[in-house]
Amino acid sequence: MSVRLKSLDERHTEILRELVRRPENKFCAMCNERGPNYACLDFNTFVCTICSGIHRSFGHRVKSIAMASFSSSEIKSLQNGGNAVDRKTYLSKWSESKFKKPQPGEIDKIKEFIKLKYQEKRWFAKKKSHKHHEEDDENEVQDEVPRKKTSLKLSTKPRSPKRFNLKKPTSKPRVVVGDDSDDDDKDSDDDNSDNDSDSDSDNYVKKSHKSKHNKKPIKKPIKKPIKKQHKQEETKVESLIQTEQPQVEVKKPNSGGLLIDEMLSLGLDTSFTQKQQQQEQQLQQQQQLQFQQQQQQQNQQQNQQQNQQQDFIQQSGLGNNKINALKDLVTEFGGESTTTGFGWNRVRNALTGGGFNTGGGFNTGGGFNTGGFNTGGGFNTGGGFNTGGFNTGGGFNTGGGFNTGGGFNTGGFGNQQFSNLSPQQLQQLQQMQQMQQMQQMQQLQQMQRMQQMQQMQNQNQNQNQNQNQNQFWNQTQNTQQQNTQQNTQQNQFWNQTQSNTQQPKTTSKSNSFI
Amino acid sequence: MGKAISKLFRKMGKKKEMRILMLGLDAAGKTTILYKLKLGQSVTTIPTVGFNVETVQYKKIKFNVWDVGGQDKIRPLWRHYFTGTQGLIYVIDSNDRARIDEAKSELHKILGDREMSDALLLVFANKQDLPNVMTPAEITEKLELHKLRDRNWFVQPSCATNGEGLFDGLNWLSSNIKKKKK
Repeated sequence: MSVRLKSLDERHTEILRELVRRPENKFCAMCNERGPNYACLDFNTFVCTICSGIHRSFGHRVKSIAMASFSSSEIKSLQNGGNAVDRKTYLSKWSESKFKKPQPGEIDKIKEFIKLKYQEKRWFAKKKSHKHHEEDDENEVQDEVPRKKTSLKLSTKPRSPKRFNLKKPTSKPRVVVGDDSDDDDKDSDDDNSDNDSDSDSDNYVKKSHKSKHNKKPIKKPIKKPIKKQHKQEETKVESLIQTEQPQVEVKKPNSGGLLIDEMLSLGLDTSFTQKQQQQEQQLQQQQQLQFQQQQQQQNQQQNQQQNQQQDFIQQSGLGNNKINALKDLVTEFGGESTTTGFGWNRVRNALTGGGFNTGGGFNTGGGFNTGGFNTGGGFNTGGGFNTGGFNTGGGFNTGGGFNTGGGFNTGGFGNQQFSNLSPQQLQQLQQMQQMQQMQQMQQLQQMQRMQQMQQMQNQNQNQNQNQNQNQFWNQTQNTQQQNTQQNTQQNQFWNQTQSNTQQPKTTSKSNSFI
Repeated sequence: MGKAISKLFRKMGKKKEMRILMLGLDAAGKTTILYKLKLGQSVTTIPTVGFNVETVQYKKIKFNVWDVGGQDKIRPLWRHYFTGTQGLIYVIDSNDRARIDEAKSELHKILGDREMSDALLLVFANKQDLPNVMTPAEITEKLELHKLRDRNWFVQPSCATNGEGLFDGLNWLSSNIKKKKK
């Protein structure tokens, strides 16, 4: 039994393939797409995939030649029908000048064509006497919105071959035949490729992919913010480079203070207390006063170093600049968010993953994102893109591993080759500096006591000078003498111009922060 | 620390996820329903070959909706999607009286599978905007849903093109999966 059924089904598919191979059925009945894969059972036509979808939306019954089984009656009516019969029935009064046949993929035009051809039967053969009347109404009718579904059962009857024969004696067919001959020429051109069905399936796959892409406009809005962020980062880098040149010499403590603020605002450095900050600033102002003279002498060196630093920033494009950009994003877009996942957002972004997103970017992965874009499942605390595992650097991590550097990680684990300015190092350095500053503060307090004793002794000698200033002068001088390393590092931090030959590596790093 | 939190979130996420399989005869409106749920707009679809899958967020529940093509020669492939399905959405073309028996037999074939024994059954009586369509009660009768044993089922009238009833269906799914866990 099953064998019989199978053979019947196979016979049907053979018949169908033979039908589709006929020249009149080689092109879609609606849009002339090559190699129709579907049969519209309401009109016994062969149509392409897209047109079959549109037919469906009208409620027409559509079956795939390859993926549906046909009954014997359906096969018979298809044998009696086909695109040529359909054309002579529904397009007998049609010509290209009246309504241009839609091209493959022109969905709206195909919809319109189906509406006019089948629902209104504008070019239907039998309505010859109403021709002029119809043409008068043409403009009005075209504006109508197609009804969702009409019972087209009635319209299937006129497709019988008898009706087809009836049409022949009319005066019009010559024009129709002429149209057909054009098609036949096309057919003969394309007759070389006999393996229509194979190529059709390929076409079909491509089409379905295309249409799927079309169906997903959601991805489009994501692109804009990406560009925005890039632009902002770029502009920040540029503006920093531009503004730093004049400011560095005069207002170093301010620029330094900004950095700390930024750290605080970003939550990168929470251990800094304001007291310490103030004390530091006082200290640093004093130091600045002290070093201003030296600076003036070393102006040329400064400029050189600044240039070097700018080059460095330009090369890296990350580090402090990145932080600035992020901070701006936080302040500018804070609060607005579209959250479709779990967790929480601080910044306007699209979070579709399950984690936290405190950065300015998109988190579609499951992890934490405090930086840019995180589409992977891991953590992205850097400013860059993370499509893989963990990205704590500022760069791109598209691999499965860890990216702790600022560069690109497209492979496995660990990327520290490009690690110029990674936040990890930044934090480590901050911690180092904090420790050093704490030590300094303790030492300074001790020194203050000592110096107060000394000042008491030397009051007469230093009458003209301000006591406090003197205090700090002495403090700093002493600390510098006693703790050269610590001081030099602090000087690096606040005063780029303070040349430090002992630790060139650390200077380059600290310089890049500011 | 971070890992612990992420694990916690993953666990929470698991609880709120639901795998939905959407089946039905061809041209019932499965793909239209899927993209109406996902995009909020009705799109012109083409007959599905293979499947479409989208996640739909509704009431803090993430529905992973699998929409599998329903043309008759690819229906035997449905069973490959059964594993792990928590809810079956079976879409009926309420206007297609000729094939309601076919729809019934296909549905009972699905429900007879061991892998689908725990799945909720939501029937979308789709295309309710058309005139003279079968009512939900009529469809319930024609599908012989009353004969089902040990099955939580519900028939929801819907219209995929304007979205009526779709989220009501999801609502039923979400509320009933909670009941099951309690």
